[in-house]
Amino acid sequence: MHASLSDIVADVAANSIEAHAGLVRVSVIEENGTITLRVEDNGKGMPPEIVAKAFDPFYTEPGKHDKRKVGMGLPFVKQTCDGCGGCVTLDSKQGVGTTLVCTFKADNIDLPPMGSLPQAILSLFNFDGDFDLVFRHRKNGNEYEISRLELKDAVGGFDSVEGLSLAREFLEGQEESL
Amino acid sequence: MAKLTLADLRKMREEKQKALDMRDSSNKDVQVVVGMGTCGIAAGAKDTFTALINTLSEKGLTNVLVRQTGCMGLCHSEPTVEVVVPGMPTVIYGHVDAATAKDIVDKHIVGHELIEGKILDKPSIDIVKNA
Repeated sequence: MHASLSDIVADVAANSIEAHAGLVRVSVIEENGTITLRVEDNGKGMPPEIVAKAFDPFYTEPGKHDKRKVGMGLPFVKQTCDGCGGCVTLDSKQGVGTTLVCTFKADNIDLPPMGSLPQAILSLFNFDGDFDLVFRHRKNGNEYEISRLELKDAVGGFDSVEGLSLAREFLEGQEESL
Repeated sequence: MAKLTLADLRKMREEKQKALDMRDSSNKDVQVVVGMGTCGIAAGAKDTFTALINTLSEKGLTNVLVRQTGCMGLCHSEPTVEVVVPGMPTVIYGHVDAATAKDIVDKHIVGHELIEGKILDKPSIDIVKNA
């Protein structure tokens, strides 16, 4: 299973990118003793029969990997939620997009740590393609929001180590300000 | 760490670019691809990615393109990293923790030496067929 909540963010949002979404919205909201992770995309979506099997570890979407018999991403999410009293909802409509929301009680002793959100978001931003990913983190009444395309423009692209380093510095600074 | 604005970033980028322009920076002929599927993430690929960026930055290497991809079909050996260096065989390294990521930069990319005991075979057949 995933070691941190930021791993869940990275994994679920990577699914959105792989589903050819043009826009992915990711938010982490920490308020009133609750942590809510939300990943919303306008990708290809899933029909109801696939949504029904999405949390089954012995099912993977046809065409992703022809001979693969397992798909562990969403089962890991569910396992994490089940392990700490959280809940997960998945809504998807073919041709429209998919939204996944996880909610956790922040004081649950079994809740995994948040981990490094800058690492997770930077790794998502660095996927190849023209998609936008808007990340929002709200904590204790403070928040920031950053768009992949805006940040990419500001640092001159993610094709260079310099660009990636600047982007990470930006994200870490935003996190520390919360 | 100070909170930066996008305007700050643009200014910092221009300053760094001036410094880079003074170096002999060739095209990005080296590619490093980190597997970031569910398996990679669960095994610590984000730390691998960070270690690669840190080491490349420390070395001032400007000819390296770092990218992510999904599962490479080697879930048993995650985190995996594919390295493409001109004049060398393209290889996939497995079990790449932060120390191995540093070795990839120091030994493979800079020293042009393969790292023993960490090289895996090609991706699994279904991935190759999908490529």
